[in-house]
Formats: sequence, C-alpha cells, structure tokens
Amino acid sequence: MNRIAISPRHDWQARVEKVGLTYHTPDGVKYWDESAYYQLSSAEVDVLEKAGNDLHMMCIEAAQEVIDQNLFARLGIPAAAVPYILKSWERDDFSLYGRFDFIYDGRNPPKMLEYNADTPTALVEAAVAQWYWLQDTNKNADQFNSIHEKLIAAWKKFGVTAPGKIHLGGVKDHLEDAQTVFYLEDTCVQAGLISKQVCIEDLGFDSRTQKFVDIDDEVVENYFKLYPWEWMWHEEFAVHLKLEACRFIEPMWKMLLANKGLLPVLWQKFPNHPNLLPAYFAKDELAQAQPAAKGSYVAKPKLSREGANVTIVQNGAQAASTTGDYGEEGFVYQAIAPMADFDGNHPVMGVWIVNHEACGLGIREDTGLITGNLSRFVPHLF
Amino acid sequence: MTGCNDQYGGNGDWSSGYEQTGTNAITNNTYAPGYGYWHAPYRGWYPYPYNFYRPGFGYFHGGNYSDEPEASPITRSFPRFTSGGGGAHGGSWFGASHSGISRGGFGGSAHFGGS
Repeated sequence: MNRIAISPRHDWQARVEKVGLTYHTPDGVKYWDESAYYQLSSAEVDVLEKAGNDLHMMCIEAAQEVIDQNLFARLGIPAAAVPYILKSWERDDFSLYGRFDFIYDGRNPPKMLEYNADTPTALVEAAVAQWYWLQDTNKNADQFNSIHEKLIAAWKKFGVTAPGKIHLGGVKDHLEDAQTVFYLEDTCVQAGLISKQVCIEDLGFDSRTQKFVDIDDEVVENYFKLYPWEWMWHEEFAVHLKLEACRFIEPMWKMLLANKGLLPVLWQKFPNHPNLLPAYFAKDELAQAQPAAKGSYVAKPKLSREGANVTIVQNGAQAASTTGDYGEEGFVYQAIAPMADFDGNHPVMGVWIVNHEACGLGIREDTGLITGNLSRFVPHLF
Repeated sequence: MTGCNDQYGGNGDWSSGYEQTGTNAITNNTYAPGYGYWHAPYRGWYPYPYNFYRPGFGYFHGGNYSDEPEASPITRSFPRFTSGGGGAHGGSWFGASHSGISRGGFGGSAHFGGS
C-alpha cells in the first residue's frame, strides 16, 4: 500500500461537481483531495473485503448477544425503543448499507474502529466521484468499488418485498446530506422503483389514518431516513414509531450495530480477534485486562458522529480530543490502534457494506489522530 | 419526564397535563401525551419542558439549547393552524389542523449530518 502524490485534474472542481460532489471544499477547506491517491494491491483489497464481511457477521452475532443478555440499557438505548428493535430484528427488516472504519497499513490486519451502520455518509465520493476520477486518470487500473451496482441490486430486492413508493429524506439545509439523498434516490430509480423526497422535518403524521405522510399528505409507506434512530426516539413523533406504520431504512435493529457500546460486546465475544481492538465499558477494565496499554486508550461516546467528543489518552496524558454534543449515554474505552502513517497522513479505510456484503472502499486521511468531518477524502486504485 | 422537575426553570405548570386557557391559547409548558411540551414563545410542541436543563447541553427552548435559561414574557400562545407543509414545529398541534396532520415531530435534534 502506497500513497502516491500526483497533479490534480486541471478542472477537478467541475469534474466532481458534475457527479454530485458539490461539497468538495466546505468553508474553504479542501475535503476532496486528488493531489494524491492510495495504491493497494489486489491482496490488500481482499484483506479489507474479508475484514468487512467477517466483521459484519460478527456484529450481527454481537447484536444477538445484546438481545440475549438484555444489554440495551448498557448501550444507552431508550427502553421505549427496545420492543420495536426486537420486532425489527425478528422480521429481519431490510438494511441497505453501512460503513466500517478500519485502521490499515497494508502490513498488519485491519483494525475496526467503529461501524457507521445507521447514517453513513461520504457515499457520493466513494461510489461515484472516485470512480470517475479513476476513468480520467488511470483507466486501466481497478478500484474496490461496486457500491453503485450493489445499491441498485439492493433496492430491487427491497422492491420485491415492499411494494409502494420509496420516500427519502434527511435534514434541511445540509448540502452533503442532500446530495447523499439525491444519489440514493438515483440508485432507487435505476432499480425501477418510484421515489419521492421528503425532509425529515416535513414528515407529517395523520392522526385520522395513523400514518406518516409527506408534504402533499401522501402516505409514506417506506422511508429512507438520513437521520439517526437515537435522535428520532427522543423526539415528538417517537410515540408514532410504536404504530409500526412505515418501513424505515435503515431499520430499527441497526441501532444495535451503530452503537459503539457494541465494541466491548464484540471484544468479549471474539477476544483477540485480529480485526478487533480491545474495548471495554470502563477504562479500569481496559487497564486491568490490557496492562501493556499503560494508561493509553481512546474514549468514544456510545452514540456520536463524525469523530465528535473523542479523547485519545497516551500514557495517562491527553494526546488529542474533539468537542461536540455527545456523551450523555456514556463512553466506551478502546485500545489505541497503531496509526498508519504515509508522509504524516493517517488514513482511515471506510469499507462499505451494501445488503450485507462488503463492496467498496473510501479512504479519508488526516494529519491529526482523530478522523473527523473535515478529514480529506483521497481516491484509491489497485 | 421523571427527574426533570428539579431542573425545570420555566414559567408554567408543565406537570398538570393538557390545559387550554382562553380561546385555544395554550399555556407554556402544557404537556400533552404523544406531543410533548408546549413552548409558548415558539408556538410548538417539543420533547422536553421549556428551559429544561440537560447537563452538557444547557437549557432547552424552541428546539435549541443555550447556556442561560430563556426569559420570555410570552406565557401563552395559539397554535398555528395548517393543513400540511407547516415545517418544523409550527404546524404541529394535536387535532388542531384542519386535516388532522401534524408536522415537525422529527428533525429537532439535528446538529449536522451523517457519520
């Protein structure tokens, strides 16, 4: 695995905007960065693909453990949501996608940092923008990327079992989320389904029919929501979720996989697995079980996004931290992964899972130790 | 809302249940099951009481948090009557809409986008 510096395409801004990546330079800070790319071998891609597939199945097993051991409160999941998570789990409600974040340097096994299983983004750049970059710059090379085709196939599968229109929406006034929803709607249409957008704030509830409705008062039977379940369960319409009057995508059972409280459960169930880092609910447990860590760990909120409220402690001293609004449900404590380092850049490998299958890679890098919402997206090939 | 009482710094009787005063004006912090708490200055229903204090977040009012409790002279207000398309919280009122449709019940927690 190498990081290769190159000259960006002279018209790169127009090229990526044309395929939907309109948020390439938010607030003047470069997010899409094609001044370099990562070159992997096909064997390294195989390693990442296998890690994604293995970890996805292990997460499902760990979720079953949460259910069997009744660990919902430990994960900070609201009690009101539990019966409906269980029903969603038993029904095996359709799941579209998710993204694992791994530390990987091409030499040591990939180590799972977390699973963004409910509202993953960085999708347009992974599925589309880097693919067109490859066609422009290295047409004879390949890329770990069948995300687009797998999304279309997944929607087709969903359409067979859940007839009716697919509504899609995220929050208002958020460019990246809006483009993500537009892209997913495009894959939905390419799958032959009928679609319509309704922002989460505009989703209505009809007290007469006890159904969710869109802005035109049309019944919403299927709703792709780019909006986290843990927020929905704390909001005014949470009471209507109990009616189960709508198929939500991602489904409610994904609350188990998206929760960082799953990391200690995974470590307990699969101790010393090569793709896992030691993780515990209490930092004392980590210190006791991993004395070699010597007071070094990463504290992560059980529920958080974009690397917010993460603290890295090395040898008892705070080495890095981020701010944010998360942490109310508590933290988990994970051993520090040895950071991959390419000329001072630390890549995190985002392995995409679509319809339970690993099918693509998006790499984000940062010069800091924590990957956040301003970390740069860098394309790859093999 | 167990445990909220001591943290509440509002100016209405939010624990007394649904109560209307005057001609359909709703008193600040009126609670209605399934809808939440009426924040009179914002004319909307919210999941927490007006000026509810949440450690690490601050005082909740109108869907946002601030470092200090809000002091508003508005202690009662009328719901907005909409038949759809009302947007965040403004069109949300139980049974009041001509169409029976309320909106804005999701989206109030949004800080930023996906992960």
